[in-house]
Amino acid sequence: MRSAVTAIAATLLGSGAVAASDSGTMDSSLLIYSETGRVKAAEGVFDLSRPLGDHRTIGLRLTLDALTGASPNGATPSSRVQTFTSPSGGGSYVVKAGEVPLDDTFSDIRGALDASLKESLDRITFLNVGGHLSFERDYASIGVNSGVVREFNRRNTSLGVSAAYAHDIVSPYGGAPVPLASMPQPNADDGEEEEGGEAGPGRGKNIVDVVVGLTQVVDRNTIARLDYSLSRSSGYLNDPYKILSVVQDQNSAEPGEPADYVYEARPDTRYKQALFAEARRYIAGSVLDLSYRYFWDDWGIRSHTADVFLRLPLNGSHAIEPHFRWYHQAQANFYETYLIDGQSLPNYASADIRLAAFDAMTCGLKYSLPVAAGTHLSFTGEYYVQMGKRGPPDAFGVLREYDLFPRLDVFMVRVGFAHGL
Amino acid sequence: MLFWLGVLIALLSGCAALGVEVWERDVLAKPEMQFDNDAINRALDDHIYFSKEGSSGGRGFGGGGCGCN
Amino acid sequence: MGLRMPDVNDFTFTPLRKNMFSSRSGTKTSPLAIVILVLGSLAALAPSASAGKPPKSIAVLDSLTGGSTISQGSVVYVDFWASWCVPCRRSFPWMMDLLGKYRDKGLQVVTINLDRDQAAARKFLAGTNASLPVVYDSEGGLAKLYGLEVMPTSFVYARDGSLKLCREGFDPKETESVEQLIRTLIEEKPTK
Repeated sequence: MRSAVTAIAATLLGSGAVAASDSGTMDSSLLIYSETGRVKAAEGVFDLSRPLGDHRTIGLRLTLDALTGASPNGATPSSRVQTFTSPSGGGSYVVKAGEVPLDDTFSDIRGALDASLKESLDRITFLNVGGHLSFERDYASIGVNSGVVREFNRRNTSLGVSAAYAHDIVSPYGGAPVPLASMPQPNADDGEEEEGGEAGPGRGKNIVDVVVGLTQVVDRNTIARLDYSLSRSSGYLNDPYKILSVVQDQNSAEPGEPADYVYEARPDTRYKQALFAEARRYIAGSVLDLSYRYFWDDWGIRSHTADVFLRLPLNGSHAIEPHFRWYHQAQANFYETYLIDGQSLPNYASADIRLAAFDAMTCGLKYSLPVAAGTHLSFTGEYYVQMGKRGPPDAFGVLREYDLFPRLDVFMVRVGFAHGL
Repeated sequence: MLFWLGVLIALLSGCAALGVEVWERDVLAKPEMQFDNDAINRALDDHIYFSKEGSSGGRGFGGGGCGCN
Repeated sequence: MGLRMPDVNDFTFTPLRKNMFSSRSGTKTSPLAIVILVLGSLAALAPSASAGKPPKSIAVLDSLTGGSTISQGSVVYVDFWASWCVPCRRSFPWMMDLLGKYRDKGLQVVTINLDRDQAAARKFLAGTNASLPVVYDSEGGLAKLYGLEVMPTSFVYARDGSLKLCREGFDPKETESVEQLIRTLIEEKPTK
């Protein structure tokens, strides 16, 4: 389940200045992503950029990714075996006692195409327009974006505004479920759904993004920027595959054991804002980049992201670049690790761990080297870890025995190939 | 709204005091000094973190560079 | 004084403190160049020559570069460049071409290099076939005097030393009209 938002953010990237470049650039990268015991994915990107005359550049980017593996469905572990209805293709899957329920029936392939045109209207004004298209089996997205950048102060300052609109269509397997309705009992005989799921056309989502950015040359060796972004999503914002466990209350026979499972429910609008600051400094041949983002939305999520890159040159135009990222997120206000049987259902509830409170860290190392005139190869290895609370402070019964947010370990490898300029 | 416009104007005028001459942009012209020099990796990062976390976006687009032509 | 175009090998440079020493900067192959370091003495000059306005007369540049750079009565094309500036590098073949066509008719091309690190400039020149005269202005004193706002910037002075054109940036589409202007200026009768 992916949204076009990241693609929009990516297309909004790109320098305001049209590179007075020769025959263009070609950039490609392959990412292998592997979560321990969970999702495995591979993503390939191919990017082409060509000048059209002296004032215009056209860009094209093709992205292909495939993912498979298991991801948490939102339910809590139990001391008994649990069986869940599988969203894709009917049927069901079984989770062992004591394990965090993972839905491993996923596998998907996505293709995306981004096109952009950048033009310099005069020496200090730049315009860009772009489009985006992406498809996967249960999701489609189409979007457009446009921006303008103007430079001031002898080109030391640049101010830009960019806007993007995307329309996404979610077509979940089995249809979009009714929020907070009970998950139908898995039918071992055949794959037919019972009540609870709507089969039918996809559900839509509209996303509007605006970014205002200021870039400033601080001194001969330092450049800095500050960006503010605002995003509004509206429409179908639920994850149709995520459920919550409704557990037996403290006074029941089996406190904490699941009594029922219900589909999640999220609001149908979301306003996101972020403030991003970055500085890059050249220090005796090395380059240090520091950035910080503060994010907040009307779902109650607040996050801090801090990133450090240090590029160290080695002999013969080789370079090594360690990288560290730290992330902290406060949970969405409708995030519930589980619901309690007998209590009235809230308006909104989700046990999607992506909306939970957690800390995450990435550390990585990139090695780059020239392989021919104007051509570079790079290899990156990264480790990403997500750590959440073991459980809510008022966890009771059998839930206290389990780690409800086990640590997520991810290993990533990238190979990049760039040619041109 | 007006307040933020004021902040922007203050930032811009403050920025007028900073900077370098056009012939002093040798370091800034280096590819490793461009904010978007690793665009594909940043796009991959955005995709990964958007898929695993609750936040998204923030990064805009850059100026800087050699400022030529 | 005749119209003899000085051969670059003839140049001696005179830093403003009047130390005479000659340079045959043939250490690398090509750019046979005069090396003039415009130092602190220029700083005394710059503030009074209001930063931001290119001098209307070529005599200013001539005097700042030792007095024997500019050949009297020539049409002079002055170009500010740096090795890290892509459009600057692109303009070199065209300038070479200009010089080849009109040198004997009275055109002089003087390039002013603004690399802070002169070695980078020399490395670039060594890698091209450019044999254009180069004045090294690593401190940027001349650039400041000329009020440079864009890299590259070039100026065309007529035979009488007056400024006729200031061109910001390098656009291959504009070269035709600049060449046209140079031809016109060359046709003018040399003064004196």
